Amino acid sequence: MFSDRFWYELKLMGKRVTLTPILVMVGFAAIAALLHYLKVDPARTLSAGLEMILPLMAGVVISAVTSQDQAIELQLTVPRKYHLTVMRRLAIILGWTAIVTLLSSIIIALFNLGFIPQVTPAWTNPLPFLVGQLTWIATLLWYVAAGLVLGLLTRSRAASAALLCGIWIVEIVFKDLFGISAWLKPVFLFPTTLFALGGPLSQTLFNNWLDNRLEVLATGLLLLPIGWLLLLSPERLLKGSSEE
Amino acid sequence: MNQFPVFLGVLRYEFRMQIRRPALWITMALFTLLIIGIGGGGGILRVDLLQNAESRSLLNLLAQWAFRINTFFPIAVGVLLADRLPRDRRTKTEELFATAPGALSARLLGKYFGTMLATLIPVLIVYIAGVGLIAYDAQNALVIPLSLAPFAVINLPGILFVSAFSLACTSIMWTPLFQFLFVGYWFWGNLLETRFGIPTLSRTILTPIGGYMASGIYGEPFIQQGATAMQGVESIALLLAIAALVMSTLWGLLKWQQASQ
Repeated sequence: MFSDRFWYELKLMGKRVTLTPILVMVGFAAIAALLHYLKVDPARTLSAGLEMILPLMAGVVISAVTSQDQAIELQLTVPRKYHLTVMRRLAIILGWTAIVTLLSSIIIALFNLGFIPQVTPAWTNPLPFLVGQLTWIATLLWYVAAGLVLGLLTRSRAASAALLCGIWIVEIVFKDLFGISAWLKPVFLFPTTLFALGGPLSQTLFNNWLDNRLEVLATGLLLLPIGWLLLLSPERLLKGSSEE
Repeated sequence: MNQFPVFLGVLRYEFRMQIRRPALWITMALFTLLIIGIGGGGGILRVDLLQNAESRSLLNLLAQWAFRINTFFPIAVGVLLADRLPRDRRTKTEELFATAPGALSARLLGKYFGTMLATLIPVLIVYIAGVGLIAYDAQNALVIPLSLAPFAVINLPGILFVSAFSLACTSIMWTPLFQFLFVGYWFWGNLLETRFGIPTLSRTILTPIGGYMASGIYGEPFIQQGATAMQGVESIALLLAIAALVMSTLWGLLKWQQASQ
C-alpha cells in the first residue's frame, strides 16, 4: 500500500521532478570539466551546485507542487488527509534531491574536489566528510521548508518562486552583512561557498561555521510545523488558486 | 485586418490582468521589505541614496539607485512573467485564441508589453520612493522628473531583455526549471566577479543589470570603471536587439507549433 502510494505520487509529479536534480548536477559536471580545461580549480563551483543551486531547485519545485493542486476539491473529500499527501510529496522531493546531492558529493570527494570545511588538526576519516555534508543538508532542508510555507502562504507558484529566488540573490549580494550580523546568522544559507570555507579552518572559524549550519537546520525545522499548520485549513487551501 | 487595435486590446487586457494579480503585489512588497530590511538595516541603502551626496552629482546618485533596483527587481519581473504563456495552455484558451481573427504576432506583443508594463509599476514605485529620499536630502524637487531618464536608460532595457526570455523560454521549458535557472543566470551573467577565472558574461556589455549605462552614460564611478557613453549605448542597443530577436523566435516557434497541431 505504502509503495503503491509512493509510486503513484512519483508518477503524478512526472519525470521532470526526478530528472531535474540529475540534469543540474550533469550540468555542473560539464562546467567543472570546462574549468579543469581552463586550469581553474572547479571545487568551489561544484560546492555552489550542492549548497546553492540544488536547494533552490528543491524549494522552487516544492512551492510549485504544494501551492496549487488541480484536484484540491477532490483531495479534500477523500478519507486520506490532504496534509499527509502534501507531506509525502515533500518527503519524496526532499529525499530524492538529498540522494542526488549525496551521491554527487561522494563522486566529487572521489575526484578529490571536495570543498568541505575541516578543523585543524584534522579529524580521522570519515568524520570530516560526514560533518561536511551539513554544507548542503541544512540549506536543502531550509529551502524545502521555506518553499512549503511560502507556497501555502501566497497560494501562487510565481510569487513563492520569486520570493525564494529573491532570498537567494539577497544572500549573495549582502553576504558581508550576513557574515557580520548576529541576527542574520541563523538564516545565512551559503557561507561555505560564498566565504570560501572549504579546506582546513581554525577551531574558532570551524565552530562558527558549525553553529551556523545547526542554526539554519533549526530554523528550517521550525518552518516545517508552520507549513503543516497552514495545510490544516481547508478554507485557505481552496482560496487563491483560481486567481492565478 | 488591421492588427494594431488587436495589439492595443491585448495589451490593455494583459496589463489589467497582471496589475490586479495579488501575486504581483505580494511579491513586490515582500521583495522590497527583504531588501530594505537587510540592505537598509545594514546601512547599504543609506550609502546608495545619501552618502557623500554633496560631493556627487544628482545624476550619479540616481544612476546608483537605479542600478541597485536593477540588481534585484528584474528577478521578480522574470519569475512573475514566466507563467503567462503556460497559463494560456493551462486554462485551455490557446486554441480559442487561435480561432480568433487577431494575429498571433499582435497577441504576443500585446501580452509582452502588457504584462511587462504592469510588472514594472511596483518597481517604479519603489524607485520613486528612493528618488523622493534623494530629493528630500538635496532639497530639490526637480530630482523627481530628472529621475525618469536614468530609469528608462538603466532599468528598462534589462527588463525588456529579461521579459522576452521569460516568455520565450517557458514555451519550451518547465516553468519552475526556468525560474531557478534564470536566477542562477542572473548571478552568473551579471554579478559574478571575473577574478575567479570562471567564464562569464558579467562585466561585458551584454549585462541586463545596466552597469555600462550607469557608469558609461551617467558617470557613476564605481560600478563599471572605465565604461564609456558609447559602450552604454551599445549595451542598450544589444539588449534591445536580442529582446527583439527572442520575441521573433518565439513568434516563429508558436506559429510552427500551431501549424503542426
